[in-house]
Amino acid sequence: MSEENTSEVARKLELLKLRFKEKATKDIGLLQQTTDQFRVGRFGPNDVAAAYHSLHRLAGSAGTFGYSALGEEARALEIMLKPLAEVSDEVAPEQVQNVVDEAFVWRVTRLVDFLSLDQAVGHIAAAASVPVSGEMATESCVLIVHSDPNRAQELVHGLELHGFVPLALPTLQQAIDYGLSEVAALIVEDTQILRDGWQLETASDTPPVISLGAGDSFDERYALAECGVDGFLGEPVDIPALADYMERLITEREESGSGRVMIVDDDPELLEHYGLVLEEGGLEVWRVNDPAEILSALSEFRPDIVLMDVQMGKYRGPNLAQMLRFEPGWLGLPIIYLSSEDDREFQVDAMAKGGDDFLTKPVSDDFLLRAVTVRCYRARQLDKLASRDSLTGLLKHSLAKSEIQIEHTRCQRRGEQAVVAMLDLDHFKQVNDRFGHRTGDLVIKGLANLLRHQLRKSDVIGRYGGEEFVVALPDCSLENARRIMQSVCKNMAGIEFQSDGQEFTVTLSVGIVPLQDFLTSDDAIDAADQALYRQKQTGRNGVWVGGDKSVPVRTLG
Amino acid sequence: MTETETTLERIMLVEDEEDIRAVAELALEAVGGFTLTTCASGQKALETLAEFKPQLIVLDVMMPGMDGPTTLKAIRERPAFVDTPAIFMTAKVQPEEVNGYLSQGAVAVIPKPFDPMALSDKIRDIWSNLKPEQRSA
Repeated sequence: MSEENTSEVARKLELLKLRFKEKATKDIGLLQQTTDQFRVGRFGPNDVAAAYHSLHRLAGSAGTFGYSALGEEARALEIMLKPLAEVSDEVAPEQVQNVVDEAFVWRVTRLVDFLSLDQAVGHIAAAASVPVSGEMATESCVLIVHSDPNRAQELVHGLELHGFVPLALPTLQQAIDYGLSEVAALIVEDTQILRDGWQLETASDTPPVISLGAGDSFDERYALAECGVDGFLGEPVDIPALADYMERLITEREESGSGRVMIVDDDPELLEHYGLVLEEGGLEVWRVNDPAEILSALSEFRPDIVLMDVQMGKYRGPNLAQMLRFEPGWLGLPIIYLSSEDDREFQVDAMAKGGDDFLTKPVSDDFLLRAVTVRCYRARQLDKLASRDSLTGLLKHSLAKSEIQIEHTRCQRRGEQAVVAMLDLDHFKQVNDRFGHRTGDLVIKGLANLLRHQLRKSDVIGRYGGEEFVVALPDCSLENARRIMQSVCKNMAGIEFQSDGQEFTVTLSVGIVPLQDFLTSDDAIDAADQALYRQKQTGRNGVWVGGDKSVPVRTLG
Repeated sequence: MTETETTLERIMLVEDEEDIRAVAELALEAVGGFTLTTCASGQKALETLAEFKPQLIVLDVMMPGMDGPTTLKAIRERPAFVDTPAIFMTAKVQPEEVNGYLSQGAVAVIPKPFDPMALSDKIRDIWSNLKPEQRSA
C-alpha cells in the first residue's frame, strides 16, 4: 500500500469507527430499555432473542472497530443470555428475571462506558480520538428513583440531552442495591424519601440527593431537609432548571474534599508527617524540604495554598512570603504559617509581610486536615471568582484566550493538531425579549453544562461574550471536531426550555478551524468567528468548517 | 509465482451487518486489492452468485432468515459452485464449533472480531494453503 493510500484507509477506518460508535450507542440504549422491561416481566416471545442477537452483534463487531473491551463484555453477557435464547418455547418471566437481574441490567448500562475506552483500529489508525463521551460517562451517571415509569422516562430523556447518563429505578432500595458510590447524583420522588429516606443514612458515600415533589408546603420541605436532602424541585419538573441544580451540587461536592497543598518545612520528619496526614485526607501534597526550591516547585505544582514553617535554618518564612509576592502571579496565593510562636505581635508582623494565616503548633492531625481542607476550598472559590464566569462557571474571555494561546504554542512545538470553535446561540435576543433575562440565563447555562458534559476535561471552554462561547479541542482532527460540535448542536436543539407555560427550543451556530494552521491563536479565533458568521448567514443551527484561506470554505451537514 | 498457482481476485462476502460490510470492503478492497461483492443476506448471495462468479465466499454464521450454514448448503446445490472454497466468520470460536463448521464444507473459520488491517493477509494465507484444484480462476 502506498503511504497516501494508507492514510486514506486510516481516515476511512476512523469514519467507520465513528459510525459504529454512534450505532452501538443506540443499540445499547435499546438493549437497556429491553432489559429494564425484562426486569418487570414485560416482554414478548421475540424480545429475548432480539436482545441476544444484539449482544452477539456487539461481541462480534466491537473489536473490529477498536472497542475490544466492549466486545468482551458483550460476549460475557451474550453467553449468560444464550440458554434463554435457545429455548424454543415461551420463556417464563421468572426464568428471565433469574438471568437478567440487577447486576445484568447494570452491566448492560455500563456497556456505553466501554465505548470511551477506544483503541486504535488496526495498526495504522489515525491518532485522533473521539471525545464524545470521554471521562464524563462515570462522572455523570445519575440515578432517578420514581415509581411512575413514564415520569422516570421523561426525566431520563430530558437529562440525556444535558449530557448526563441517567438510569431510572423504581425504588430507593433498588438504587441503594445498585450502589451509590460511583453515582454523581440521586434524584428521588419526595414520597419515597419521606418513607424510606432513612435507608440512605446506612449507605456510605451518598451522592447529592435531589427530591422531586408535588407538595410544596413548609412542613414537607422541612421534613425533607430533616432527611438530609440536598435539593428540592417542584413537579412538574423544569428539566433545564433540574440539570443546572444538579450541576451545581455535583461541582460543590467534587470540590469540597479536594485541594492542592504545598508544604515547606526544613524538618524532613515533620514534612513527611504533615504530608501523610493531608494525603490520607484526600489532598494532593507537594513537599518542599529546601526553601530555595520554592519558586520552581510553585510553578510546577500550582497549589491552592502553601503551608510554611516560620523558621527554616537560615531562611525565615515571612521573608520567603514577601519574596513570593514579587511575582504578580503569586499575589493571590494564600500562605499559612505553621508555627509554635503564639505571640500575637509576631504573628501580625509576619502577616504584614505577605502571609495570610497562622496555625499554631502543636496541631492535631484532625484539626490540621480540616483547617487545610476548608482553606483550599475557599482559595479555589476565590480563584474561580477571578477566572470563571459567574453565570456559567466557564473560563472568562481573557483566560480562555490565554489557554488557547498555550494550546497553539503546544501544537506548534509538537506538531499536533487542535481545533478552535466559536459558538453562538441563534436569535438569542428574541429569547431575552420574549421571556426575560432570567430565562435567557437559563438557556446560556444549559449550553454551558452541555459543553461541559460533552467535551473532555482537557478541552478549553470559555464564555466569550453574552451568548457567545469559545472552545478549543486539543489533539482533535477537524472532522472529529465537526462531529462533536454537530452533536452539541443537535442536543442543544432538543432541549425544551419553559417560560410562562410556553415551551421553546434554542439552536446554536458554530464555526470551527484548525488551530495549528494559523500564525497566532488570535488569527485562529478570528477565522473561527468568520466561519461562525458564514453559518449564521446560511441558515444557522449547524457547524461551518473554515480554515486556510487557500482552501475554499465548505459547509458540512 | 509459479504457473500452477491461481491468484485470488474475486471474493463474495455475505454479512447482514452494514458496519462489518463497510469495514470489510475497506479491508479487502483498499488494503488487500481484491475485487469484493458484498451481500446483505443469503438470498441476495444466491441471486448474485452466477453473475459475479466468486473464487472464494466468506459467510457470516449468524444472520436473520438464512444463516451462514444454510446459505452455504444452498450454494452447494448450484453445480458451478459445488467446490468453491467458503470461509465462515463467527464470534463463536469454541474448537468443537470450528470443527462443526469445517464439516459443513468450509475451508476455514475466521473469528470475529477481526482486525481490518490483517484480514487480507489472513485470507491470502487461507487461499495459499488450499489444494491447487480448489483454487479456481
